[in-house]
Amino acid sequence: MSTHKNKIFNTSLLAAICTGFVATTSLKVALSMSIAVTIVLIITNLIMNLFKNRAPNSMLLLFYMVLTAFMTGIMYLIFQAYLPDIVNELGIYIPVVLFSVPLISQIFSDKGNYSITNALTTSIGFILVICCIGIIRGILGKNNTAILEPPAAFIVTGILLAILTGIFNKKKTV
Amino acid sequence: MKVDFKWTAILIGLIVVCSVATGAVHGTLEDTIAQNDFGTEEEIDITELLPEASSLKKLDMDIPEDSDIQSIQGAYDGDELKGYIIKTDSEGAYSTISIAIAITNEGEISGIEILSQNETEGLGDEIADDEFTSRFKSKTAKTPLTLVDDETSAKDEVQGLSGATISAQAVVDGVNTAIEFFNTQLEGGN
Repeated sequence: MSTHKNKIFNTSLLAAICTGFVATTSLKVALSMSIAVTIVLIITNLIMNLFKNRAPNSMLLLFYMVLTAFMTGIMYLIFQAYLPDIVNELGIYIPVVLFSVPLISQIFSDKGNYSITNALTTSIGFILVICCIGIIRGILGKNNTAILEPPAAFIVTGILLAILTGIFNKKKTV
Repeated sequence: MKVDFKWTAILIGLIVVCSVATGAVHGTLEDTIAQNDFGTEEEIDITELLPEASSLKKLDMDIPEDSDIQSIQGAYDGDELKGYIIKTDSEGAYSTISIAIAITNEGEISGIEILSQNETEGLGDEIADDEFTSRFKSKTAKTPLTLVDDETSAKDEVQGLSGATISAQAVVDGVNTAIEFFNTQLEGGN
C-alpha cells in the first residue's frame, strides 16, 4: 500500500462514502447530494472553529452533532423548496445521509480533527467518488436495472477502488 | 465526574439558537415548499379504470375549497378525451377513504379504485376488494347512486357489504360527490 493512496482513501472517507451510497443512482442525484454534504461539512467545521480550543474536548462531539443536525435541517428545507425531484426520489434518506456522513467521517477520523482542511479533503474526495459511482450506475443502470439496486453500489465501489489502487501503485513504481 | 456547567449552558444555548434559526428558515421557505408536489399523487392503473384511454392529464379546474374532490384528471386516447378520473375523499367509519372514480364521456362509471383506506380489517376493508369495487362498473353517472342490500342490476343502485354498511356508504358518498361534480362542472364541457 502506498502512502499516497492511504492519504486519499482513508477510513473516514470510505466510511462516509458507504453512507452516501443511497445517493448514487444517477449523476444528478449524486452531484446535488455531495454538494449538500460539502456545504454541511464546511459550515459545521467553520463554526466548530469557534469552540475547538475553548470547549472541553469531551464535549466537542456534542457541539458537532448539534451543528450538523442544524445544518442538515436547513439543507433538507432547501431541498424541499428547490429540488423537489430529489426529495421525491430519496425522501427521508436526504437528512439521513446529510447527518451521518459528517458524523461518521468525524468518528472514524483522527480525534478532534475539526479543521477546515479536513472538511475540504473529505468533501472533495466524497464528491469525486460519489459522482464517479453515480456516473457508472447511471450509464449501466439504463440497460440493467440490477445496477440500480443498493448492493450494486458496493460492487461498483469495489471495482473502482481496485482500479484506482492499481493506478496509484503503478505511478509509484514509475 | 465533574460537570462543566458553563459549557453545558453554552451547548443548550446553541441548541436554542439553532432551533430558532431553523424555524426562521422554515418560515421563509414554507410557501415555496407548499407549491411543490411530493409524489402524493397515487399511481392509478388507468387500463383497469378506463381501458379506452391511454394517458392522463391533470385538468386545471377550480375546485371549491370545502369540497371533498381532490383532483380531476382527463383521460385521453391520443388527443381524444375519453373520460375523467376524479379523486375524492370520503369519511368512512374509522378513516378517510380516498377513491378514484373513472367516468366516461357518456356518463357511465367505468370503474372505481380505493386508493387508500384504514377501515376495520376483515369487514370494512373489503371495500377495497375487486368484488366490491366492480359493483360500480357500468353504473350511471347521471344520477346519484343508492346503496341497497341485495344484488341489483338497476343502473343507479349498488349492492352493499353486510357488516360494513358505513364503509360501503362512505364509498357511495364519495362516488356521488364525483357524480355531482361531473354533472355540474364537466358534462357538456367536452
